[in-house]
Amino acid sequence: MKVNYGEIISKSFGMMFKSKWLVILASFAYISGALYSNQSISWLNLNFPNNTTQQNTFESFQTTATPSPDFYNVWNTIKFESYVNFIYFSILMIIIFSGLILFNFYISSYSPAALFYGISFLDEEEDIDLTEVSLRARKKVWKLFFTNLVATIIATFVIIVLLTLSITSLFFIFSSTNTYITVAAVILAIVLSILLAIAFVIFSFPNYYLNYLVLFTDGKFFKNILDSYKYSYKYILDNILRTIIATFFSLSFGIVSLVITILAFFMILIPFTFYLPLNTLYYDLFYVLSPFVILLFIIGVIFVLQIIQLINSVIGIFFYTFNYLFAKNILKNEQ
Amino acid sequence: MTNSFVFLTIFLLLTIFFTNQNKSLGNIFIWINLYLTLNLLFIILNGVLFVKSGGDIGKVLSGISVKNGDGTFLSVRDYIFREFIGKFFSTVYFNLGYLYIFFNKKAQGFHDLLTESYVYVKSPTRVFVVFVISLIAFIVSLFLLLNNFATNKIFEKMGEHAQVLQSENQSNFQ
Repeated sequence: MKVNYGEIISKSFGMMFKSKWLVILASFAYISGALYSNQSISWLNLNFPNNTTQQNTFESFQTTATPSPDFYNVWNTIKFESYVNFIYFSILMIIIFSGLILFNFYISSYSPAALFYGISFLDEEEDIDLTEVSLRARKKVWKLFFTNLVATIIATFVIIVLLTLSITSLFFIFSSTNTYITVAAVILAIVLSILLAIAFVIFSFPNYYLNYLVLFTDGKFFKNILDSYKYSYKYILDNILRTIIATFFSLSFGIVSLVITILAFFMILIPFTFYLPLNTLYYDLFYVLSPFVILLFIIGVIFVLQIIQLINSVIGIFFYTFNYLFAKNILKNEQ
Repeated sequence: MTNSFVFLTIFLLLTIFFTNQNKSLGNIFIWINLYLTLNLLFIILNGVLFVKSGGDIGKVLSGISVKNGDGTFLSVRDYIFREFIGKFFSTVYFNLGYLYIFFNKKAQGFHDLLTESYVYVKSPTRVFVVFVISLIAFIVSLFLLLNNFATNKIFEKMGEHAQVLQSENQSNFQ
């Protein structure tokens, strides 16, 4: 073992409440959506959040119940000046959305970079200098973004190629009448499945090293990517152990976070039970107080959302520190 | 704040001008386009003013300037970073980044700390006076707009239009 896991875990726990700046930096990463996407390779995490809203049966009935718009007639009634306005509006939308996409790219790399530099300051027993953290993060933003992008593209490409080959070999197994071809296809399918499994394991590790290499060393663009693959393979046992520990903590923290969230939501619902118009005695009171109750509810929801943000930010600090210290310990052996 | 009031006053005055021209609200795209174009123009104009004079329209009118640690005005990149990324950072936890200005010795918010910028105020009285004037201008233009709507019978026309649309919808559905 190249890493003292006990020391890393205790240090990561200690970092959670060490500095207010770190909480704010982590909170910023949480808001910009980068807190959990950068912990392991991003394509593996893409499917976890509920990005797609599935239409349920009720909704599909709803859409068929309403009359479909007659597009020809709608377009026919729009005057020429409206067309000009619409085209201008489209151009404005393209400009605004391009700006938003760029903003999103920037912030999703800037916020984790700033958090890593914040952690490194505390790790070296120094107070966090927000200006210095920001200046360092700004220098490495695009490098970090493009390195992660290229690493993700490589991983996705390899997995897709292996998957396609596996499916093709399966097709040969079931369709071929020639015994030799069937046997060869079975062997190929087994080899490809093993390769696929290895690829899944190997390609989920490089991000631990990639962020560290980009932010804390002066390595060149492709050298960083290749090095991250090299370390994923070379320290495979440490990588697997690290993943197991991280999964254990993420599950534990996840349960704690969920329980607190549910409790908090129930707590904001408690005052409303007093205003329920169960009998006529409270009926007038309910209507008189309803604007205040609604206001109270909105404030309560905002408060709970802030608590959730705080909890997730503090948990995020643990994982970022854990990743940082793990990569630092492993790379110390290389120097 | 002053900058927002200046923006809103100009937008409301333009709205009055266009409703007077057409005697109606016209197409919804006109208003969205006008609002967005004015926003983009303000971003560009404020960028130029930040680089040349050290502040947006509101700051220039109030005699406030934003400078780097070495006393020079911010570059375009610093302006974009301070105004978009930095101010987004300041809104974390109930706009804590803005409240921090009152607790920091150098009166820096989070957005100033991130860009290493400092805000210089020539005269606090001028800041207050310009703020009050911009607020009054905004309120007056809001009343002018409502008055304009009343004289051109905009709300009545909107109601009639809504009724026509409703009857058309009903006939289509039947």
